[in-house]
Amino acid sequence: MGQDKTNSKRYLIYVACGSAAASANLVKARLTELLQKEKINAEFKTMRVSEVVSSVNAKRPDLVIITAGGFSTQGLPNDLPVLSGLPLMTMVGVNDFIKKVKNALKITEG
Amino acid sequence: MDLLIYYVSGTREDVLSFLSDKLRERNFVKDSYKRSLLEREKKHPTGLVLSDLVNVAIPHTDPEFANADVFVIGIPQNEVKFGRIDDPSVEIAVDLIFLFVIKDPNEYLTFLSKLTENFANKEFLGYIKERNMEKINAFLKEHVL
Repeated sequence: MGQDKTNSKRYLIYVACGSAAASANLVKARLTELLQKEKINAEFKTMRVSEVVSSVNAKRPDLVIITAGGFSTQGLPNDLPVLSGLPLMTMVGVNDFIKKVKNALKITEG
Repeated sequence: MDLLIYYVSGTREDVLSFLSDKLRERNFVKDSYKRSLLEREKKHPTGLVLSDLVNVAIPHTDPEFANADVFVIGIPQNEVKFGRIDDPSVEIAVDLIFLFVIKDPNEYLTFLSKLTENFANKEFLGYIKERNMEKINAFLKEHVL
């Protein structure tokens, strides 16, 4: 109620996988498309999981998405949302995933 | 893209070594591919839990170890377990192993996108569960390769 829709904001999202080659780019491509449908404006940066902490320290994003396992959130701010990008690889629970992304970006449902 | 199908057995490492050797023999990959693939799987497991009780693994490594594009399906003859991509501490027995070698990073992404898109296809999942290689072959040729 009375909350502004923040559609004009450009969100920064980091996507990390094992090599920054395949799955991170796949998740980036799929999520770009899905967010466009939701009229959410986002900028992506793909990286290796090993680069996440230093990248976050250099510039804090709105959301971090991980597509490789064994990732520790150690060293990251407690209030920084971190999600698994797996649904965009297995195509299981994609709608739930989008809800989680919107939640993490604090976007209220229209 | 070439499609190769092999029956595989033993542990996960046995299976990946076997498939790497086959690819090396046919010059699809460089000598260093096997080591890279095994290390990569150890560090970042690739077991995927799909819908309809279907589990697959998509072992892969960096394009620099590839000589030519190839898609390999391994059909386990015994229970072969892979760590889950999202939780390496949990191991899952896989129905099939989809190993792909792609030289060009952009092609690699396109391929991965096409393959995983079809993980939402019930028909395809059914063929994987049944290990119906004839149908899988036809499906992949039409939709992915």
